[in-house]
Amino acid sequence: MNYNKLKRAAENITMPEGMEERIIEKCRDMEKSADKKIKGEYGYSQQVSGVETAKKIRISRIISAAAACAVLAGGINAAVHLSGKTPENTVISAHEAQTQEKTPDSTENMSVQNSEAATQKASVYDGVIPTQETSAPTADKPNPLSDFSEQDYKYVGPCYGIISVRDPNTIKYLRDNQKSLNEDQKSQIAEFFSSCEYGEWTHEDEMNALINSYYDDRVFVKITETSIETITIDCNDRLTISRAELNSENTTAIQTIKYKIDYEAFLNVKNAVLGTEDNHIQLNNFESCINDGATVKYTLSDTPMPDLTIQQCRLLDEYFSLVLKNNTLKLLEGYDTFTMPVIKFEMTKNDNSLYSLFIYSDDYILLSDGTSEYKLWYKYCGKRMHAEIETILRNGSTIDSANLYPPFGNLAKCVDTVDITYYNGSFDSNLNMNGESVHQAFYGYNWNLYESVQPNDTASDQIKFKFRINGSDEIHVAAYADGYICWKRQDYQTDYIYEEHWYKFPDSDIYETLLIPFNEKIGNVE
Amino acid sequence: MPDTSCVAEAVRKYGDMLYRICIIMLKNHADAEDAVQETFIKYMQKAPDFNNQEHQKAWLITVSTNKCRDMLRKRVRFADESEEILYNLAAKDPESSDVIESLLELPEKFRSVMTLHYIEEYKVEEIASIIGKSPSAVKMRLQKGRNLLREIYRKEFRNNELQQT
Repeated sequence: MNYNKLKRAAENITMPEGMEERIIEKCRDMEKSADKKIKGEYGYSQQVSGVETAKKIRISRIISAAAACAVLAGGINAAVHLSGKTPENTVISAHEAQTQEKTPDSTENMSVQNSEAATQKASVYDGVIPTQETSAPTADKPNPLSDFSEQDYKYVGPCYGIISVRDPNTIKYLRDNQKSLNEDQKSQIAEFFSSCEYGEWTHEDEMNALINSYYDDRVFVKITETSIETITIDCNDRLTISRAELNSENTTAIQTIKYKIDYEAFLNVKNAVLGTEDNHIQLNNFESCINDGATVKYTLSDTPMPDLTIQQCRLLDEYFSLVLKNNTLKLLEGYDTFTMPVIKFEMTKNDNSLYSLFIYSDDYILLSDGTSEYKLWYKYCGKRMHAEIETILRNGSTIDSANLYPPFGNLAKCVDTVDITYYNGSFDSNLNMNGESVHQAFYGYNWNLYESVQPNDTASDQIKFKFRINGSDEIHVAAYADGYICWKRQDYQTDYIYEEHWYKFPDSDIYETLLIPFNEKIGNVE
Repeated sequence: MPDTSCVAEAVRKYGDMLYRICIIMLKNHADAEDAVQETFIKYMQKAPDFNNQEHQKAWLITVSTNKCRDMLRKRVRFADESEEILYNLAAKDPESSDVIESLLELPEKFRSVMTLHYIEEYKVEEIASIIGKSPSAVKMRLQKGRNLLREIYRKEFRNNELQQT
């Protein structure tokens, strides 16, 4: 194979016409947008966030707290004015703002500072602004939500796909999904907000925050005819308070302020007071959905399989219930898998997608609702969930742990070390490997699932070894680069084969695992 | 934070290279442009102080390959535009599009390492650092990638004269 040809050919792949200019223009726009925020041309902005701007570009993919600022009237802006910092260099956090003195006429200060902002339809926000006027924090202990119990906040979270309070769809979603808090709940949540530590949310924190976190943003909201205020807490330990004025045309966000708080502590209080979240969709409700008239389509490595029966759904529910009970599923803040899904379940009703469940070959699981906006990523702490599920669907049985051992026995118990040979059709190489390591390469698979017959042809690349199991018998094992595994029990003196078994795996993981020490030994790939 | 002029210079210098890597990984024009654009946006927002040009180049490649993987992970259905990519390539270099076609047939994990090694001429250790795998895993993928590429190429284009290594 002429790899220089590959290189020369690839060099002809260039950016399409206009792409360079589009990218530069986009970066230019972002730079201007970031500058405007620093200089307060949209009004006061306390948090310069290039990340935040980038989120708007990827509007359909990012989950973010409510954002965007315009005109502010209030102490915080005055604090900036007083701070004497030049707008270009000002990245003020709420923490810093809280420690500044307020001015008697903040509106005037704002208009003095920013004439463009003053010409906008600005108004003093009627609600509570977290200044020292309404709370009595010490200079080093801000308490932006000290009035939580006195205000009519409702709870919405978890929220997915919330982009901005500028978005009418966001506002509609918040209106439709807000739930009232009773007095007891309100006072307990208020107690948490009063007692928790509010740290400074820095530019560095914003840069390091998970952009693609799919974790729930817990949201409290207060919506009137003319204004909307959201309090969002997300898994980046970020508390965002955003207030916007609603008008007939669009939302003009007034203020966004961010703090660092202890998300886990909040979550514990929230769960205790409001209950644990109720995901929209569960991993173990296949049967109930079928009973409601849904169908579950199932594909295996992109091959459509028959729709699941109710019996299969029941078995899947049992399987996932057990997995959840055993805590072998870990809910992730992000996602890591580099592979494609092996199994896809898609639940539909009347041609509408209800939810989908994807199982990846490296044991990542993606659960998403019909809109694909609600997503949860899990990591299975066992091995090869897709194989376990395939077994369940194929023969209705649950996983027998004995099946996870290789059929030729536990090599680690037979030998301390074993001679391994790599053969590629023209030459071979030998290594001595630890028996436990070799055993681990074969352990953890549901071998029953992959029983096969001897193929007409196998890949030339293979790794093989043998070991004695008793006075006369040897086990010979070969792992091929195309996923075939063969083991034989034969007489070590006569080579008479007592039994021979073949397996076909969908990938060559076992072969590749055994190959690693050979590659390290060889030291190069050319 | 680099300003627009710095970014523009980086786009001119590395844009084609990043686009090439992204389109081979994603096999889709719009996604590849998206990935390249987001790489330069991230460059504008988060670029560290580079020691030299090679450092800068490796950083850009790392960000773009990570972005491509993110997009592949989230992708449920996508339009495979390999034919269009090859059609455009064939217009420029009819004799070479066959080897690219074979490369595009490889699974993603082999495509990326093969591209970085044979097209962008990165060493195994450098590729390992870029994609976050061990050098052994990279060697394994290169070895398998070569075998697969050879197999695909022979099957598809066995009438061509190939120079054997």
